[in-house]
Amino acid sequence: MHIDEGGIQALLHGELAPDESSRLEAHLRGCRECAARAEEARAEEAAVFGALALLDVPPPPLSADDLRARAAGAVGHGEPGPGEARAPRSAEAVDRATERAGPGRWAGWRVAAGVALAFVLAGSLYAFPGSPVRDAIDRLLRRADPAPVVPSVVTDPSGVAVRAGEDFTVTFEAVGEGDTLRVRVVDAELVSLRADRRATFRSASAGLSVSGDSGNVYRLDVPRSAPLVRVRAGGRVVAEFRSGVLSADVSGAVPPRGPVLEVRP
Amino acid sequence: MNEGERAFEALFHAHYPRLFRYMNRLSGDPELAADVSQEAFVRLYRRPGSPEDPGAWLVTVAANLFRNARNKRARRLRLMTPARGARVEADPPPAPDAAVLAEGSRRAVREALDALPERDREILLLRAEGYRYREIADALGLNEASVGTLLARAKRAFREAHEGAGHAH
Repeated sequence: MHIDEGGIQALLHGELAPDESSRLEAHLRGCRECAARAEEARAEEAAVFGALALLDVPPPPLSADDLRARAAGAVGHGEPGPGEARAPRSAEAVDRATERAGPGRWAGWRVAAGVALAFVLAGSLYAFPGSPVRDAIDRLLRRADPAPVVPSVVTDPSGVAVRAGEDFTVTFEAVGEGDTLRVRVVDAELVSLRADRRATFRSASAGLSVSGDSGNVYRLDVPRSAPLVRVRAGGRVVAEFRSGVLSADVSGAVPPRGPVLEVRP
Repeated sequence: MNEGERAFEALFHAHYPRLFRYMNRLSGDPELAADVSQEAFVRLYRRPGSPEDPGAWLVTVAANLFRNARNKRARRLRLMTPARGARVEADPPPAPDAAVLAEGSRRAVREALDALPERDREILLLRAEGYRYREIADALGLNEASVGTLLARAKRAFREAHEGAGHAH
């Protein structure tokens, strides 16, 4: 029996459970038709997403003053009036639908107060108090509140963003053949790291370490302005960026049976 | 900059660029995209407690704001110019330079995207931003198990619309 188009897409995007993924990959190795369809799907996606990128423009500049004024209610949108259509899915419905129990997920967000997630990184502390954005905006508006000390381990499917400093290392722990590291150089201020599946991010000395579910796709954005950012996997440096430029002396460094490494400098 | 400001900045830097890019591609209007994206962050601030998945929450709110703005704009157009139907764009004067060719390619992509049903458009653009199936399902009210199939169909529909206009990949 062949893989249906939904299965091919899910396999392409790393959305399958590890055992299901292994089963389908084994099928691809033995079925030319499905292997061809998978390759077609990959090529089609690259073409479609490449075309969509033609629409992109830089966002208009946003100042902290603009955001403060808006948050303080000086400028903003009113709630939809009685005559205006409502979208079929409200944010509250999303809240109900996205309620998840279980260890390792966003359990900390549910605590009303006093729970925070933080990254201690080379002297920079990122704090997420019980209502983190509210506290952050309050401080932004100069209504001071002490920030709680928070643990330095976060399990977050969305990702993290931190300042690189002068010398920054991202270490991918326990990554293997089924994982993919996609690295881009971007015009941004922060090192940004996301994982398509569950991952755990830990602060390290002048860096960040990350481990996650197998078959993960990690997306690392390296700021062009960062003086030095190293990427380690399998105990070795696999990429090094100096002011956004991939160092020429890092070559063939992806360890055997290691992750697929894709770099777009 | 204190800890709270760093935290908010980290959240903003992690989510704003992809949210703006998604809204710009969805709306074709960079100013509107910036407006609804920023407003979504303000709504996050006003919300009691934090959502479990800020990414999905933000894109849902921003998309709702966009629909409201679009519907309001459509009603205003009808009231002001009842005789006018769909938006009409004049073709630019022919000129063989790169800028015009690039604009032609952008317009072709825009038209192909606009030709898709709204749900197909949203699925395609959300996946292009790297949102996971669970986040797409939550944002659009879908069964997560159906996202792969719907995505395949959306990509096919876009490709056919784009190629049908004479812009093969």
